[in-house]
Amino acid sequence: MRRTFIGALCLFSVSAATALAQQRPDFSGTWLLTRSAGGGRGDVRLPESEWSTEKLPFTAKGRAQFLANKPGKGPRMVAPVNGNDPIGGANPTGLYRALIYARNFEFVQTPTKLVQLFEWGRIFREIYADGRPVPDDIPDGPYWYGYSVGKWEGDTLVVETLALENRAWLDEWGTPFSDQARVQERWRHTAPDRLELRITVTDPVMYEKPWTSMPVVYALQKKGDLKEIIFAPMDEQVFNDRIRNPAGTAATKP
Amino acid sequence: MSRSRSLKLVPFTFGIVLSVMPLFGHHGTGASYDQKKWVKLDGTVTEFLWRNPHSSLYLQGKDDAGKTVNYSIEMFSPGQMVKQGYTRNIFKVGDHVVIEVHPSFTNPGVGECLGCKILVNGKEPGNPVASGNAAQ
Repeated sequence: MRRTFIGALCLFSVSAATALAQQRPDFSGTWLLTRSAGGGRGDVRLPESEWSTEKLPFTAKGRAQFLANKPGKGPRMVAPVNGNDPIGGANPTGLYRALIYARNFEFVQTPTKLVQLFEWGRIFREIYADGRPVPDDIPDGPYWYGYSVGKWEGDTLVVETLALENRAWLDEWGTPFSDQARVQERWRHTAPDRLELRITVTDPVMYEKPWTSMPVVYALQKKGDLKEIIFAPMDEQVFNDRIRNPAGTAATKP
Repeated sequence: MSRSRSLKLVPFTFGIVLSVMPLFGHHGTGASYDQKKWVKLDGTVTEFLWRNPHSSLYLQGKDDAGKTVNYSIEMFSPGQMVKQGYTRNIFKVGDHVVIEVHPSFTNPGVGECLGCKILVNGKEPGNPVASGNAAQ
């Protein structure tokens, strides 16, 4: 009798979880950043960061780090040979730089986990959505792509990310974050073929108060195959030596 | 037998090729190359690297004084080049190439061709169409 009851309870729980999962929005598919958001193009004016139409509330340390980061794109761009962009040596992009860059990524969704497969760097990122709590720390972190826990609030997936490797930048323009940073992502459909993301960055080392990004919009792609865009260090070294660095340096006589 | 030809730098009219400019550049290109200027290069292929995220083309020609000049050209990733109608076989060593590039601000030996006009042995290769898509 007791076994029957426990079995029925388990069956009900599984059925309820499946039914709940079926009611959730489906983010599956391949997505590409739209041109009107990110990158300072289109009708969006971005003064400092690809994530924000506003100036960021830097602390003194945050402003100093921002100015010390010398990107190859954006309003403060310098020739890469005079810059310090971490991906110039084929290092990982980090999570948020991958999300604000116009390369395809695929959302793979299961009832307990969502995975983002990024074409750029051919890497992936997991969002655990199995009800686990957000941990205070990740002992073996930091991770270039962070540690993320998600939960559904109605039609919105709310993701908390921590343990981010702060040698990465938040975007192509050198927006910094510290090892204390935590980022909340809010993902939702604005149309069947559009996904919107807003991030809120909480990082008392770099920012005087939490700040929330503009809405960043991704469009569903009909051709969903992901390319292989790998930065092989041996190729990047050759490219830097023969083209990228000479392009920003006065020629010398042979 | 050398097929080298003069490596001449000829300013081009900006408007002619504006339509094939990519909306997203490789990082650092805006600071390294004069993207309001086009120059035409005429030379022989010494090497072509079909690589992610940047392909690169190396030419050799002669300047007006008859001196050998080498030129290095930054190009799109293979994925972007395929979208433009090109293949990995677009250039072979020894091919005669005429190509328009954005010149480096500081180094006349380096240029950028991210969606530009190309002639290989007198013919347009593939079906170059600006993709306007992203490229690192």
